[in-house]
Amino acid sequence: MTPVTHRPDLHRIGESAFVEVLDTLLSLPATVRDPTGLSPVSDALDQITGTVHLAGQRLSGSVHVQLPLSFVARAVQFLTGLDGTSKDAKAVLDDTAGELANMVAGRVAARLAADGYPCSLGIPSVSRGARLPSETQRGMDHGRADLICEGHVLSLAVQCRYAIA
Amino acid sequence: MTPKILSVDDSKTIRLALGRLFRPFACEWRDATNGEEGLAIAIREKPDLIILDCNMPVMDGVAMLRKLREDPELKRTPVIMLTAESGLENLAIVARLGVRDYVTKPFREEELLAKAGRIIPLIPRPGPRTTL
Repeated sequence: MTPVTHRPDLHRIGESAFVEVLDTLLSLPATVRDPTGLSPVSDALDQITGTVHLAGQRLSGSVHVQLPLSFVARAVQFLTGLDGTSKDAKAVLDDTAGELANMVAGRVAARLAADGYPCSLGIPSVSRGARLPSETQRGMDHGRADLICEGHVLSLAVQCRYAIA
Repeated sequence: MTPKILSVDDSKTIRLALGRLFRPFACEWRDATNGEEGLAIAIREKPDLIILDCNMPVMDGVAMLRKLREDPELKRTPVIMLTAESGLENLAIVARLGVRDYVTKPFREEELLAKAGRIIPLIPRPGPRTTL
């Protein structure tokens, strides 16, 4: 018989981590976006993507969180009291997006560890206008979640490659 | 004496958010962007509490904590670790290094204030006086 290898449900893990971070940090309720609905999708140019790499003995991967600039500006205002829409707010907008990705990745890592795949986090990186990684990369498990929060569409992708036992 | 708090975190957002959280209380606030900078400030300023991030460039929180514990003047400085990671491995390392508490990001403000308040007195600053 071939042994059954349990693979974590990256979609479920990512989605619940994302919802928890938004609720705890910003006290904002988020709902899962209906994939059949007609919710607006923002232009990628108006988006900030925070990425955190995961590394462990049995797994390597990454967590990507894509957020509209207007949502991040609101988070900056809520957390720091600064005006996230001002001209000199770029650095703090990027930092906030990276930190949100870091917190989501931390929750994802905790759940992966509970599933038998412990891993540590890299330093967050941030890019503007980038698209989330697609599901077509070979050899990678992929989880994707889209949330609606305060009228904004927030997206997450988790990618993992597992070491062969 | 007014307690002195040092926040060490590479995220400007977190440093600003923590500074804002503790602003209503009578305390002196210092911050640093990595462990190396944090250690230099700790040596100079002798804080009463350090709120220390784990995952930072240049020198991470665990390395800074080890350096603090090697310093005779700083080895008893209370430290609250603040980190996005909640792995048991990390918890075990920092527990061995004598951290007073551990808070996982994202945190509830009241949770961090309660933990800090068990280490240093958090006395509300007097409000502005109204003159008639």
